[in-house]
Amino acid sequence: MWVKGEISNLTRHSSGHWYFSLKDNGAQLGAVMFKRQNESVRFIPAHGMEITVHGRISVYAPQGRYQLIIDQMLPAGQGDLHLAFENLKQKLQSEGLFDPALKKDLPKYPERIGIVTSPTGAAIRDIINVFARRYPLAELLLLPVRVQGEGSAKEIADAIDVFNERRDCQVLLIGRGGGSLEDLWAFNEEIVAYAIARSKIPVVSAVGHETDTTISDFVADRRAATPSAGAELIVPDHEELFARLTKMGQSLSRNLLHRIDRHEQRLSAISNSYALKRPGLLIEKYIQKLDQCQDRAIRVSREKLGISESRLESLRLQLNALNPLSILERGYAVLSDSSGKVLRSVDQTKPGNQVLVRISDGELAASINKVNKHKK
Amino acid sequence: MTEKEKSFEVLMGELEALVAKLEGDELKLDDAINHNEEALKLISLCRLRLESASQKIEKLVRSVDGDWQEKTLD
Repeated sequence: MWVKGEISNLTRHSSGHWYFSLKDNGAQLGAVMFKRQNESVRFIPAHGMEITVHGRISVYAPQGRYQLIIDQMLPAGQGDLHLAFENLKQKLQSEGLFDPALKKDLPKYPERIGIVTSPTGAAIRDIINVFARRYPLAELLLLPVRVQGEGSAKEIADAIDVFNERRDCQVLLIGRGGGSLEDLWAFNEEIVAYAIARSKIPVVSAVGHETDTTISDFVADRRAATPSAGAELIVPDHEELFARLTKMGQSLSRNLLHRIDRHEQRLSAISNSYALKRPGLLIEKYIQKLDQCQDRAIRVSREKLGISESRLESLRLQLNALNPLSILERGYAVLSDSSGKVLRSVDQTKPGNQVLVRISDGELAASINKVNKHKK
Repeated sequence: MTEKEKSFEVLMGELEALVAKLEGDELKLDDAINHNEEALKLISLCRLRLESASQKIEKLVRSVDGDWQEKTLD
């Protein structure tokens, strides 16, 4: 953390370490800057001097008190920016502006890319080169702004707002090339941080060189070390896309051939199967047909048989009329001799003989009294 | 929307969806052949888009009445 204060009770020990108190109007804090770190300090600290330091709090156990272990020391004027950076970072962090949950995804294949940077300088040339090389499909729309000096932060913030009003770009790249902390300062200002935070369009922050970190980097949806890296982050490489499409086509063809192969194998497995090779199956077809014919034949036969049955009935009635028993019912009688032989002529018997008379409901035993033969 | 009007992203999205379907095993052979044909069409369309792309670079300039206008970047 960065702390600002006034030096008091400074001891530059023979060991090379510096011990002092850092105080402001209301408080003071013990501080130590060891030889290894203080060797790089470019001025000679003195009692009463206003300084800004970077360090960490630790406990000095023998005396049970807190002290600041300092690793960077700047004269107050120079250190102000560090302090301001630290304060704003803490403020915005506590407001939730760096919340990872707020980070928006970048579009995979942006059609139009909004760029907020200086129209002159290396950054815009680098950015255009990367886009041209990697992904000429995307349209670039530059909103030229000043990226350093009085009013530049407002220009940058307004540019982000303008793109959000237009809504014709799917992603924004804001940034500039390297420079001193003062040069990059616009990207550390609150007004830019809030503009990035309220942007509905994903913002990529690409400010300075590898080691530079700005507030806009923390608020942005993605950060890149340099403007070129920012551009690379935003678009896919069209050579890679080409290769991917080619590979896709190949794997599609392979996949389809494989699928057809599988079907072919299944088909040939079926057609080679025992069932299809067995002639019985062919016969079964005929058997089935035969069965149908048989059924039909039976049905037809039954119909025909029905006709015969009615005929049979009338025949039976006719036959019934000829039945000798039914003749007896009409009052006729049949005579037979003692041996059971039917008498058809008077010559077959003589008076005194026993005969059996059969009538419709029984027999009578009788004897012949007289024989009387008719003359023809 | 005709295919000419579709953005590269939409085309790629359709292509990826088709490929995912084709890599699954659910499809009937007929559908697979149709989808495959469609996917190959999309691939060549995407390739064409990539090949024929020439970057358009413009800048926004504020006019006298305060509106922003697009102008070709020199």
